[in-house]
Formats: sequence, structure tokens, C-alpha cells
Amino acid sequence: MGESPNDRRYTSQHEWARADGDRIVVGITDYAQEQLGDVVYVGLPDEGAVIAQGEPMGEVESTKSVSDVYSPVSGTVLEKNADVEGSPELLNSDPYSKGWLVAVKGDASSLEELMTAEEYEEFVSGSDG
Amino acid sequence: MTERRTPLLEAHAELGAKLTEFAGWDMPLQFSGIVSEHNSVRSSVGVFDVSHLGKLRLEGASAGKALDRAVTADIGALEVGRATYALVLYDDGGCVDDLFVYRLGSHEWLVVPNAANVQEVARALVEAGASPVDEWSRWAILAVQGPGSFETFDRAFPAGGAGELELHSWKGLEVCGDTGFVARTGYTGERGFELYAPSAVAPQAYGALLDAGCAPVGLGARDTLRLEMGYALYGHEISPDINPLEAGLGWAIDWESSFRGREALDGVRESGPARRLFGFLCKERGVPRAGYAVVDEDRTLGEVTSGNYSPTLGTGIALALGPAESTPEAGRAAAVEARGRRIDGVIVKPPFVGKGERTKK
Repeated sequence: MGESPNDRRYTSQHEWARADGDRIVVGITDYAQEQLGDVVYVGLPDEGAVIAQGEPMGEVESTKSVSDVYSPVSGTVLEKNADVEGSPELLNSDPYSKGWLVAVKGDASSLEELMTAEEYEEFVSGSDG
Repeated sequence: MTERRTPLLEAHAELGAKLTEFAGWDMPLQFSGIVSEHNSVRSSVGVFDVSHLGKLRLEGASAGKALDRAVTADIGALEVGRATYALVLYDDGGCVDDLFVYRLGSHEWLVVPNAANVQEVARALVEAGASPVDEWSRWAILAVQGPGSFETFDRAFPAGGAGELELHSWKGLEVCGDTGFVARTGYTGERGFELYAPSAVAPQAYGALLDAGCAPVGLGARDTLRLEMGYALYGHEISPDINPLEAGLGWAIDWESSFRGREALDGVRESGPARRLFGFLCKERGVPRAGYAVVDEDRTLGEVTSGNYSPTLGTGIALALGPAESTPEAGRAAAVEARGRRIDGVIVKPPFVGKGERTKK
């Protein structure tokens, strides 16, 4: 698994959230895409949708299975990544950059409740057995 | 029950396989990724470990007659050197399993059921008067499939002459100093072989096929490949609750012979099947899955039995089962209800991927 970037926080459901000015950008982790396998469909909330921390906000489907994506933050969707809806394989090739899912207007301080990169990597190595 | 294990498990681990537990076996789900493995089989050649398939051997003067009573195919007409697809049915016409029968000798047959159904098929064979021997550990089964399979197999086993085999025939083969056999059978829609390699030399045989240019392919791509061809899978299109005529498998029935479930099937044939299988092709993004409803404007047409993303077509595809009186015609618009969302599409007649599209790739 690739290094988890230090500029963002992580959830136990394998999502990440990164503060970017007054937006919070959200995606899934490299571990998540690795577990999913080839992603063939991404369903995202539209601009204006209200999403809640820990609640499903979208879905990611691979050739193996369909999974909910849980929002790492509460807020309102400012923008969804249309590129990743059109080319779901971006989630596999670049989950931390081109494969971002949504940008959210929300409280950036809520990220502090989430895991740091180091904590997340420890969490993943534990859950990997 | 003894733990069942493919002799290729270590080789798979070295290749970085992701394993999945399947009917008590740890088998490769994928290697490089389902889509790329799928495309390897459609465009060149791949090798699958399907050693988890059942291997029930029958021997003896009366075994042939017993087998004939147990399965829907004409076993008496099956010559040594040939193989046939067949079904085993319950008395009510529901499916115990689908399988392949290889006639190994004048009084010897190998029955190859699905891994999950070995016990149930063995029981049906015993009830028909046969004495099947479960030889699960004797062979590894390697499916070599794809347009390049003939050349590749010849490179790995140059003296084998596998290329001369007709579809559904088999011949003995020297495999790494031991004796196995190779058959022109498969489950992908591509030309290819299934190699029965003695377990002791199976890792060497696997290595020879990989060295000759086969991509390792897991069970994930095996499923997307068979689905593109509209092939039935036990537990999805066939089951104890689905009879062969509903599943569109009337071609696998020898109506000249008698077999368990025949009377019930005669009744179905007379009245027509209550349900029919049909295909659905997505016209927008999304993946249909087993259990989703197929609907049109105002009614439910059926339920998805198998659905996935088709790597060849780049869209979702599904097989579905619905009441025969409302079976939709090919070309009609329909939709699947996917977790609260509708995916629009069209009814199609499987296979989803024809010969033309496969050779273009």
C-alpha cells in the first residue's frame, strides 16, 4: 500500500478528508481502492446535497461488490468530481488526488476528530491481520 | 471434512493473488485486477486454477447405466475420448447441479460438478446405483482460455497435440513426466482447453503455462467472462428452485432417455416453463446485481439472477428470471432498480458479447 499523505485526516471506514481553503475535499484511501478492486461505478451526491459525518453519502462499485461511502465530515456539497464519475478507474489509479469525490462546505475543525496518517496506517495494519 | 487445498496455493501466493474462500477452498479471486485479467482472456490467453471443481470417478460395468439414470445427457452415446455437459435433477425437475462428464474408458467416467455440490451430486449418483469415488486431490484443473490458447498450450506442451482436439473431446497427455489429460472445454466463450494435471506436477505445469505466455486469471474474471456469454451459474440461473427449461437449458436434455426428474420435466415441457431467463444491458452508468428488480413503466418483469460490469462492452449487464407470460422482447426499454436508483437499459438476448466483438478486441 502507498504512503498515506500527511496533509489530511482518515476514518475507520477508509475515507479521507483534506481542508483546502474554505472547502473540505473528501475521497477514499488507497487501502479502500485496493480492497475494492477495479472500480466500475461511482455514485456521488449532487451540489447542494447535505451530508452528515458517518452517514452514507455515495456509493462505489467494483467488479466484486458495491460499497457505501461514508462522509468523513458534515456539510453541504459544493462540487462533485465529474471526472471520477465518468472515469471510475481514477479511484484505483490516483485515490488521493485525481480520484477525489466531493468538495464540502463544513467545519474544518471537525477533521481533528479523525485519524492522522500515522494513526490510520497503524489502524490498517491492525485490521489487515 | 478434510480441508481441501489446491496444489497451486503457494504458486498463487508468489504471483500476488488475492484469495477468496469458495466452498471450503482458498482460490484466487484476482491477480492484477479483474478487468485486465478479463481482457487478457478476450484478447490473448489466460490460465485459471479451477482445481476446486469436483472430481467424482465412476468405474465398473454397471456405472454407465447408473450415470445415465442420474444425468440428463445420453451417457450411452458418449464415446471414450469425449465429454458432455449435463444436468442432475431432483424428482420435481429442480437442478441439483450442472456438470461435465468425461468418458475416460469403456467402463470409466469422470464427473465434474461445481465445488459446492460435490456431496449432493455424489448422493444422487449413489441413489442411481453408482459408486462414485471422490478424487478431489488427484488432479489440479487448469483452464487455458483465449484466442491465443492453441499456440500457447503447444509451446508449454509441445508434444501434446492438443490443437487437434475437437470441441468437447479429450486426450491423454504427458504432463511434466506424469500422465494427465487435456480437454477442449471451457467456460469463457473463447477457444481453449482444460488441463487435468496430476497434483504432484501441477506447480510445474502451471509454471510452464505461465512461461508460455498465459496471464494468471482468478475466479472474478471467470465470472465476468461467463456472464458476457450468458452462461448459467449454479446458485444463480440454476438451482433447486429453477428447472432447466426455465433456465433455457433444454438443449442439455436428452429427451430420448430416462433420468431422475424426467416426469416433472415432461410436465413443464407440456405446459411451458413458468418463468424465462432474459438479458438486460445497461444504457447508463451503474451495475445490476443479483436480486435487483427489472421493471418497465408499470410492472416488474423479473429479478436479476447475475449482474456485473462487462469489461468488453464497458457497461453493466445482467441475466434475469421472470414470469414467462410477461417475458419482455429483445429491444424493449426497461430498467433495473438498484438501491433506490433506476438504471435504464434495454432487454437483450444473450450472449451479450458475440464472436465479432470478441475478435475485434
